[in-house]
Amino acid sequence: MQKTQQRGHSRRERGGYVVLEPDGGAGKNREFKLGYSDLDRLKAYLNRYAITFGLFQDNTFEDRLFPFGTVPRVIGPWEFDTLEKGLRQRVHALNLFLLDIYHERKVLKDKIIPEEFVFSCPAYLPEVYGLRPPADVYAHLSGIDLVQAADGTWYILEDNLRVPSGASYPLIAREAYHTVCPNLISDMPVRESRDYPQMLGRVMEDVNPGGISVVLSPGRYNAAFFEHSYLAEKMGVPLVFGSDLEVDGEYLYFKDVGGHRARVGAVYRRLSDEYLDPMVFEPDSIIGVPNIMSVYRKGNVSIVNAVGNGIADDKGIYYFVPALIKYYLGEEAILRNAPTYLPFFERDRKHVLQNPTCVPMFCTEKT
Amino acid sequence: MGLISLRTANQLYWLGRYVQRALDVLHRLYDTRGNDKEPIGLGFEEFCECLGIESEFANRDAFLQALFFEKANSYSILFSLTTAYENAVFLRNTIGHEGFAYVRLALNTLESLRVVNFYDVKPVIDYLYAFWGSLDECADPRVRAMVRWGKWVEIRDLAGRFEDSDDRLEKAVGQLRENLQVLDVDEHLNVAQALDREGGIDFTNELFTTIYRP
Repeated sequence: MQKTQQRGHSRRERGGYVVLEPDGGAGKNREFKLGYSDLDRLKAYLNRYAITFGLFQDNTFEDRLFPFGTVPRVIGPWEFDTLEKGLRQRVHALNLFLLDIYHERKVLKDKIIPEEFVFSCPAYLPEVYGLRPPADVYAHLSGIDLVQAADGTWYILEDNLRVPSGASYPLIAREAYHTVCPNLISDMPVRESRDYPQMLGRVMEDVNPGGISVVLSPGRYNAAFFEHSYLAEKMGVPLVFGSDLEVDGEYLYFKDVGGHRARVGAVYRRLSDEYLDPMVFEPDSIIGVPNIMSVYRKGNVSIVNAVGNGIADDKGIYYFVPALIKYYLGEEAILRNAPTYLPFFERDRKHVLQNPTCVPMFCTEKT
Repeated sequence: MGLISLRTANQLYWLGRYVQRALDVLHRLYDTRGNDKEPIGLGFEEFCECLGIESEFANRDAFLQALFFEKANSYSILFSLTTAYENAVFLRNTIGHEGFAYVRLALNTLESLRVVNFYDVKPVIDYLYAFWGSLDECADPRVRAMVRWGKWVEIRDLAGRFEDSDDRLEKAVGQLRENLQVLDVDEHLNVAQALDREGGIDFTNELFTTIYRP
């Protein structure tokens, strides 16, 4: 995608802002006035419900209100559709890459990616080699960062396929607009986004081999704890910590206060691979669930997102994603990477050396 | 009925206790709004005695200031609301978005005040009542029962401290029994034993001497 519509779609006026309907080709753009008092109410709404993120500073924990730009940034329908198509394409290719790299490794045999970029990366987990997640889905959720350049072009900044965070904030922001200025939503052709928790719930049901679904949080002092509890509430599933779960034999269970147990079939985990199972990964982890990986290997629980996804969103692999899209899907990438040079390759090394303004922005996990 | 972990049950119980402690103490204070010489109800020294606080305050205003705002002191209303909120943070998905918000609003309102003015404090009481009302909207009867377990234990505890009438004490125990019909004996015991391990209260014993007593 090259050029897009003009950036912004809002203008400041006396007493507030005017939000403009993007040009849909009909030539009749509606406007909506957002007064400063509306903007104050939107912020108060976030305060009322404690829409926060946690921050450790000087060894103390603080819950801070999520910084929220209250004037909507409008993305037009054509632009949105293109972004959606490009993101779907990218995630599809990355999912195929994960399936390949943990099984046949054709992508290495065909020399699309030099193998040192995989095997020297700590995010590649040999522990899950040969392990097939239910429905072959690795990336159930993806948090792909986009950035828009001054000329309007959208770029992919990075891929997040491990424990992506942040989905709850636009949902609650949308709820806030529905409450504070419902006409903005009803008078403008705004697309619905609040069904995200239901979609996530359906994904978990689809990959659940039997039992209940849960959200597994590392705890109160995780930066995104608000999101964990919000999504659990909206999905209607228990929010659990590691100590609430136990492995017995080949299954994972939730321990209820009444003394009985419920089998767990899908875990939306919000902790990193290394803390998930102290028997397999970080032995000092007290936030994980001992032996959950053995249940996972047996196919008796789905872990959302799959274990080992970090190899696909590693900064070294990022460079190759357009080539992966071509390799797996036979298509050109719809969305571009931000311009990136990998001095591993002669042509890029030359460019970097000849352009002193070209500074390294990314490094792989290894470095 | 949904699933509740021991950890969650424990937090539901303490949420109920601390919300009710703040509300109950506020109500009792409203009964002592006269001056020291002509108190309506208790004087502040007596109030301190009932709460087990050393009466070392220079006057009634100093006492009220401490009782409302000294966060570090476990007898203060700010402490109760802060602790209630800290439990509620864990329970947002269990008690619901709105129930959580009322605890936060009560705490925010109290924190925004600097001096005790009984009119300004009224919204705190309103929010706490709204919290109890919102709990009725909570679909899971076990969740409601566990929060109210804490509530009625607190009411009974304060009724004992303030030497309320036998009727009030009996009512609290009656409400406890009625409320806990929702839970079975195993659940009572599991939660009680978990609370015992937290320290401070021999809850298992308390269950048998109050709720299950003949």
